[in-house]
Amino acid sequence: METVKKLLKDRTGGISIIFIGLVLFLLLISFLIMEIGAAYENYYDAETILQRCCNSSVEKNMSDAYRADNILYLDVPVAIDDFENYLASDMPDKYTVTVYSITGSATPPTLSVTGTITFSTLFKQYDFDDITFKFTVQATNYRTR
Amino acid sequence: MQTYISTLLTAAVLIYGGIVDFRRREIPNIVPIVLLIVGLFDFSMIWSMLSLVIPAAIMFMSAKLTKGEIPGGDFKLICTLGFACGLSELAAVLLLSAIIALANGLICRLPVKRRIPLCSYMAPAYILLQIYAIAL
Repeated sequence: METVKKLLKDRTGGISIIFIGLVLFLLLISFLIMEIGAAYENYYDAETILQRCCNSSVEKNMSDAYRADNILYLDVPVAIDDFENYLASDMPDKYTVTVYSITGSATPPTLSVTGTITFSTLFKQYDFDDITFKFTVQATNYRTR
Repeated sequence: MQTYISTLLTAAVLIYGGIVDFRRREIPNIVPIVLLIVGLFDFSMIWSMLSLVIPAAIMFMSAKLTKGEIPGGDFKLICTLGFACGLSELAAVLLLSAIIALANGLICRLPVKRRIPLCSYMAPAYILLQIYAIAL
């Protein structure tokens, strides 16, 4: 506490370049750690939304007529359309989602989506590229009652 | 508009601090005070406080590592510039300041271990960075 008080009262300038270099190095390391954390947080956020879209589209398009006979049947084309609609409405604008493939099967009812999520980092203001992660989400329905 | 005002205020106060620091090796308290006020324009509880605390912690750590003393004026300048501009911009300004100081040392054949008036190098570094940002 005494040191902080002394520093706040002190007005002297004059710092060595080596000291600035060390401060810069430690600052960059802490900044990089924080930015990596933020990037992973963004990735998990986007992946959660994608997983939710996938789950919802499968859940919505299970055919109830078949379910009565304990048969699980997914209307794949409509599920794919619904997935795309959910994605368009739920995904925030800061993420760019590129879908490489959407595959589904009617029985067993599964929908699998692969692609990439792209978003910018704080380094963008210095002309750095956006960061891209690959993703795979899959939804399966087992409910027979 | 608000961004331009805060940029202009920061540049003006850094130029003033730079001149005083160059002449007297002293940074007037008005410089960190104005930077704190500028930081309040775009205040976000977590990021602004982190940008104030992290440079301070890093400077204490560096002082421990080098077993040297931190000049109070420079300490306040770096912490409040972080508060006003954010950590990324502070890192960029520090990097550019160090490059300018090293280039000046090479041209004038000055020793690397010398003590420099930090604010005098930070002012042009900050202005250059802002010009670059506007040009982009």
